[in-house]
Amino acid sequence: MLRHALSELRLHPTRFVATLIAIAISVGFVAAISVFVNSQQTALGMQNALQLSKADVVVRTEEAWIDDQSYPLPGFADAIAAVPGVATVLPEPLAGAGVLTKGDRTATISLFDVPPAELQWSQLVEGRMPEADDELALSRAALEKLGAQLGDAVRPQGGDADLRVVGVTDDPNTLWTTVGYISVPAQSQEDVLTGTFLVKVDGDPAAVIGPIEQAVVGLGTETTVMTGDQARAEALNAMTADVDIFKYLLQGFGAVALLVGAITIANTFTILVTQRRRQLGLLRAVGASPAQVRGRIVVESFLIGAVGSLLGLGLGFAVAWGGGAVTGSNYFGLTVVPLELALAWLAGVVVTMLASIGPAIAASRVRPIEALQSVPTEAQAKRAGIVRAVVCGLAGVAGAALVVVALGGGDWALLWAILAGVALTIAVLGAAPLYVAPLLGLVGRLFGMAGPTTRMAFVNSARNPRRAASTATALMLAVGLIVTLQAALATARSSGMATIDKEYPIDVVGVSTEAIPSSLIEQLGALPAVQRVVGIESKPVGTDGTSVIAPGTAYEDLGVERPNRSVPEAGEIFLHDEYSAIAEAAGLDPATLKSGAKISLPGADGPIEFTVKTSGSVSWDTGLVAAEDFATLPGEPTVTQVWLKLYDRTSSTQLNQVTAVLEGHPEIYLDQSGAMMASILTQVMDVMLIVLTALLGVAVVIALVGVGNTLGLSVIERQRESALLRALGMQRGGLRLMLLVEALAMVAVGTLIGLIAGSFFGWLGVKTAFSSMPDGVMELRFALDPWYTTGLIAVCLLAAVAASILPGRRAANATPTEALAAD
Amino acid sequence: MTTQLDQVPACGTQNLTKVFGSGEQPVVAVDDVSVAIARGSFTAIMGPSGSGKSTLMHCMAGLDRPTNGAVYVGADNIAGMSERDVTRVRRDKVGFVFQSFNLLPTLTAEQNITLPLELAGRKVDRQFLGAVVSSLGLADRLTHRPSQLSGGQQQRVAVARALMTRPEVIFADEPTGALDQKTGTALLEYLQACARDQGQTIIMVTHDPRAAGYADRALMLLDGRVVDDIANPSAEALALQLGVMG
Repeated sequence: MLRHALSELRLHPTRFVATLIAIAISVGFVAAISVFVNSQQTALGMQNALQLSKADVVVRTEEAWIDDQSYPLPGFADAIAAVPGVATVLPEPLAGAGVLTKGDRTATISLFDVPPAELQWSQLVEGRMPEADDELALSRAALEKLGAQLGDAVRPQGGDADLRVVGVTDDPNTLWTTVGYISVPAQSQEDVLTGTFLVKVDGDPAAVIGPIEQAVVGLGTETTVMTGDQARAEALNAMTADVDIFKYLLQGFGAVALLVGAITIANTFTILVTQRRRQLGLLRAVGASPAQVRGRIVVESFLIGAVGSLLGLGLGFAVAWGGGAVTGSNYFGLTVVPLELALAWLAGVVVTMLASIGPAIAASRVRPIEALQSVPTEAQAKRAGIVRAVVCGLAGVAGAALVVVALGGGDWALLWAILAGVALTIAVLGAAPLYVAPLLGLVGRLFGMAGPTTRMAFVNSARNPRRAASTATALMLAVGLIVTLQAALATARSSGMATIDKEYPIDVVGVSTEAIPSSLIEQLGALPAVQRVVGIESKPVGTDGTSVIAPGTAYEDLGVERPNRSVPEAGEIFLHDEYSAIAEAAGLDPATLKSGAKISLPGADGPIEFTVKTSGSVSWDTGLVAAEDFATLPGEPTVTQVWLKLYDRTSSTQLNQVTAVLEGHPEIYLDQSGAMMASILTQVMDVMLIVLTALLGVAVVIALVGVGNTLGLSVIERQRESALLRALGMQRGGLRLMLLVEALAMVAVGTLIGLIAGSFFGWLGVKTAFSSMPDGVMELRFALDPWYTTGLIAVCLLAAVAASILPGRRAANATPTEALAAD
Repeated sequence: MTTQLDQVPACGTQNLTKVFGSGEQPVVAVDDVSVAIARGSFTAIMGPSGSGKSTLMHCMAGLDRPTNGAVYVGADNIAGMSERDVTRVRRDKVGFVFQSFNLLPTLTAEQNITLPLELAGRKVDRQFLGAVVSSLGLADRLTHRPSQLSGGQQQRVAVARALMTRPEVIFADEPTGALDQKTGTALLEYLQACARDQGQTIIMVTHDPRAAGYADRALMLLDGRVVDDIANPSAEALALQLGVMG
């Protein structure tokens, strides 16, 4: 049987190409995740253990304060040094993260003090290690990030003195850390409390462990002594738990890819079985039992699965290597966990074989008489059963009910929504054979006026409902998942943005403790990012820094919509609803302050009474009053706030223009600025969108490969029809057009349903997630990211076009004579 | 009364040669054949298997390219035309009836019949369609798919399709091969009537002497050459001839 299967594969290798690709991509995805994440873990671990790289023995002890005694006791290090065999004892070089800037570039660098030569883990490439405290050495990677060179000056962020780069090292960088060295002044080293000591040993490190443990008894608490190798291994494994969670999460996406791949594989085998009906009938006529026929198909699927999964492993390696090149972890090589890769391979094989079970059973049901049928039977387009309709109907009803429950709100709403999603997905995908073909036929009739080519194309795509449905199903699933996540993220983003817009209508609010010079206001107004600028006057209340402002027409001047409670009437004062310094100064308890309370503020001719209104959008040290009242309060008005309207509040570049100018004015701080929050939200959401689209994009690619597969195989069985059409006078281009329309039709149906379902699920997910938050906090605004979603649709349609090219050429090249010859 | 047009043959060949394969043993399927087919004639092309009759028909119908020589449909030599132009000739000037698998399974009978016209973008003459359909007895079958039609009905639909474009010539390749005797006879009588009464030129390839008996000219092929050209053939004489040829 193996021989037969092999011969079948060898005879028609191209038929299985698309399937192999689908398996390779799925398995490759899973393998890539495994290798990539493991490699990152290794790289991180290595980075964490950098200081330990050259130590032979590592002694760790807890820094503690017990009974008025500070542990470890002084002399701890000496005790270790006294042990025979110990060459050097040194405290672990401390490291801290520093943010360095050069010009407009910033980088976060892990800064170590210079390790002693015998413990140095990297090489100096140029220059020397820092010796003074205005010097530093940086790794090549750090220099690249800052765009700096040996001899340049860099400045710690927020600092006022430059550091000069005196040396370059060859430290590698990984996704998270870049390395640099600073010099810590000698005297402060002794005062530095550290609990880790690195020991260099002459001879075997393991032999020294016991003596060291004895030597430090009583001098420290909770002391552990281990060899350097052990300590390094520990550092590597420290993050395993966290990394594992991350890995499992990513493998979830891998599972999705495998699922979509399974649908494609099942499709391929179904088509192939259909096309080989005569052969299979012959096998049965000659005496093969149904079990033997089934077995043959299963063996074929095993071979394909094995080869495809192997290819997938190779693909996964390549992708992981590419990813490692980007993050820099290739310096530490690729970390391979053979078990995980074996599992990935096995998963590919198992999925392929499972997917071929249905077709194998169908193959075993071919009757021997079919071998004798000279006119090839049309693919038996079996009508999807009543059972399917009932099951999917029930799932649909259940799903709808769960949606209603989920919309009812409550803490479990999101869970109900997820269950609803599962039920509805089963209903929609399972019922596909029932509606895909009629849908295609309907659209075909609409387009039928475009000519016989188009009409035939639609009818062709629908003539085998199950095949058209399965192909569209894979796409529905993949597109549906991506759109769900895209819609959820876009909705969350726009809802969050709407809330930010409402609560923080001013893009940038700069508050100063002194008067803001009008030159600064002009400077800000002149920035290309700034559309309007308004200076807000304030008057001090008391002497504790609190002040009163009257926004007056500021909102209108800025062209911004007034937030809800923002403009006081005469006699009103707006104070912060949770803590108002003004209220406190006036003798009221800020915690219980409510609207309607009365507060007295000193006026020009005696105390003025105000009615309090609490608001969340007033800052704690400010009160808002009406313009008339502002005039009657004592004191000289000075401009202490500047309000800015930017052209695009979501752009961090624009915000940076403003903060760059304000950096020179440390007395001004940003408060309640909508632009800050908007740009952070946008950045976070954009990153998530990219990552999720890429992860699920793999599944979409597989589904599209499936479309090409279906088309390609269908053309084979339609050779005679193509030949007949050519004989009757259809041009080659006409046949290619027909295939194109077929491809577009299938993809359009799958994409459309995926889009609708995905949007609904995304909306539902966000809505139920919001419902578990306190009321009125977030207003739901449904959105679809225009770029990502239309990009997705465009990619699918383009792929449809591409998928139809080769089958189209094949159909067009059908020669009438060859194919029409009586078989 | 003969007119100038009548004297131009409906189709024909001039020194037509078709060779298959180029290696050691090339097969000369058609060997320097020159024939002229008169308008309104019903010609049978006969011969034992391997005589080249199918290949000759393929070349004359523009389904295959000759290795040498000229092929005329009407007054045009299609041997030198581009693929696009030959396709157009097939669409507009030639009609086909094959032995089996004539129809597109996804179209109804009516759609099959009007297919060449639709491909050409020409309007369907509904009166003519009605006449053809009723003369073939297909009026109540128009909305059926081929899978719902009998073999004889399928062949009749193919004939209707061939007639709709009013082609220069209709090629029929063993049209009765898959039919029972009664149905086959009816079909042949219809084709004969088309030629005689409508002036439709028909060329039929067949190995059945009884079928060839309906034609008014029989060309006998052997080893790629025309060995005999019989006017008003009778079935018995043809059978004898075939028997002699072996």
